[in-house]
Amino acid sequence: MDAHLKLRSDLSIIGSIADFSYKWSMNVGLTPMDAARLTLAIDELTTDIVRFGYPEEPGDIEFFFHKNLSHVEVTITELGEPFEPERYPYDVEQALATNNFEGAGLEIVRHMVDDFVFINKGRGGKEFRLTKNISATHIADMVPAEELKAAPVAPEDDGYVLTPLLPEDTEDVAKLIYWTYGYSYMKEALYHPKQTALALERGEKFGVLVRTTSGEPVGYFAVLRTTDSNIGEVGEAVVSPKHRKKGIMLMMLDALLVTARERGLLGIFGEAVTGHTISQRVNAKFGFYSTALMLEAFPRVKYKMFKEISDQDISVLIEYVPLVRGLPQTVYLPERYAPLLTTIYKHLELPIEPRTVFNQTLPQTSKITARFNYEFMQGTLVVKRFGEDFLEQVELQLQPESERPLNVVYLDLPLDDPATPQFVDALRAKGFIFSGLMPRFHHERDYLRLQKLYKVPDFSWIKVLTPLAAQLKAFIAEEIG
Amino acid sequence: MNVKRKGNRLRVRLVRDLNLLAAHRIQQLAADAEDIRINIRGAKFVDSEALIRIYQLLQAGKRVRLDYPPPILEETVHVLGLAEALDLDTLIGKRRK
Repeated sequence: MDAHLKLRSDLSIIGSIADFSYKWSMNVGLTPMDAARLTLAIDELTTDIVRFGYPEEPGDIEFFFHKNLSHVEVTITELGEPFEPERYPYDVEQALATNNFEGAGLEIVRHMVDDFVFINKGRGGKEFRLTKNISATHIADMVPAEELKAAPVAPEDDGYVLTPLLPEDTEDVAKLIYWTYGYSYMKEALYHPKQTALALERGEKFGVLVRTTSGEPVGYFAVLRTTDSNIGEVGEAVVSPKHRKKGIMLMMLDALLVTARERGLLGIFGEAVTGHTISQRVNAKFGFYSTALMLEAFPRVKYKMFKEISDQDISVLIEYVPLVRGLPQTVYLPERYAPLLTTIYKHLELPIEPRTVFNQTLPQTSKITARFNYEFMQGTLVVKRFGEDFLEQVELQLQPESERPLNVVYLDLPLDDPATPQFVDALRAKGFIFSGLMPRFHHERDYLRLQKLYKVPDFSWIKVLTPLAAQLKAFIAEEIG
Repeated sequence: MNVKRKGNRLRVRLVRDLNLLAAHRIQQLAADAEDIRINIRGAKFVDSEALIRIYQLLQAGKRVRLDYPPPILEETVHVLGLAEALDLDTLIGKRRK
């Protein structure tokens, strides 16, 4: 459901982009009022860019629309005249006195969205990021409090029935999450049945539900289409505490992998939290291998069931199982990371053809997409194309004008691009360290993930199960020094 | 944009948003009008450029009414602190059901 529009700056596009934005917002699940708010913010920015960014010669304006399960993001980029929003504060008294309403549009933008970030990228132009949360009815507002208080107890001899997850099951999923985790489950969207139903209907996720034969929901597991590639994420899983250690998780994962193959996915990955090894153990049974360790991936959460990890932010292992292996991929592995990346590829049984190129000639400008999740205090930069200004662009992305605290920024470099190896040393000098391999992660291509930490975790809290995961952990600990 | 004139009265019906272009056009049409009524049932919003131009029309002594405005209008006006300057209660004519 992501969309990318590139338009020529002209007054006539303002209405068209507003029409598109509104319809897109409604289609991805915003309420009519929130769709209007987001659209008004886009209208205000587009109007300012057309009028003041390109006052003489028209230029390009790009709009990137992205939706995930809990919010939508719209990024607008342009290469017009320099502009600093902070220099145009809106003051109503002054505006009325002077009939000069400078800053009014930006005042509306800030109010109409949940997050607004402006980035001056120097020669790379300007970038405006708008985030709007998707609101939906919370399970606590749908179900009487008594019904939510305690999970029903199934008879001792009850069996289990596994079925594909349907939109009408989503209220039961929300109840199950609540019974198991209270309000501590990280994926807020699961507490909103309508959001989950919408995601199912749009093919953004598919899942299974396990009930007792008497009908009580006891297990839920889903594959999410969270990346810009034909892979899935085993991203949401829960088994009622009273029904654990009965093989429900294995039964569900087995069924999901069958469905994923039927749907033609290239692979499945999971983000296994490292506060415990339960998820890693389940993943290992199904042929998943650890490919990356993402430190500080989520802020600390008080898990109802896992009190022992409550003091630490959460680091996760990326674990991947290929469903399609295909022909050998040409990769340019940075020398420093080649042995470990090769080891990971061998575990995955993904064939590669490593190559080396020196002094790669680059175009003038880089193309990097940035996605920041301020709730999770993390950002991800994905390199689409290296250019001469690559390091400068990375530096600018790390210093948004509007300051938001971050724990970590991940940087994904395409391994099939000969320029990747030549930038690793310079990125390390900027504080980036190894994270791992992200197989088929963007547009079906393999990426090297680096990470820049603003906070170093206590490695003793990071629990890993397999020798490969231990190797990743040790390598990264050594990189931190 | 559907436009009707009678004497010093101007009636406009918009099928799209009341944005910069629409407001600019209305401002031109309103040059010799005193009583301006704009039906914006088809609008999703009224943006800041349009509100500023409406304010300018009011400042010029013209009577302006917005019929069937979108629900977001009042929020937008309050964000800009213009409820009093635009005399919001008078500005809004017929409301959407």
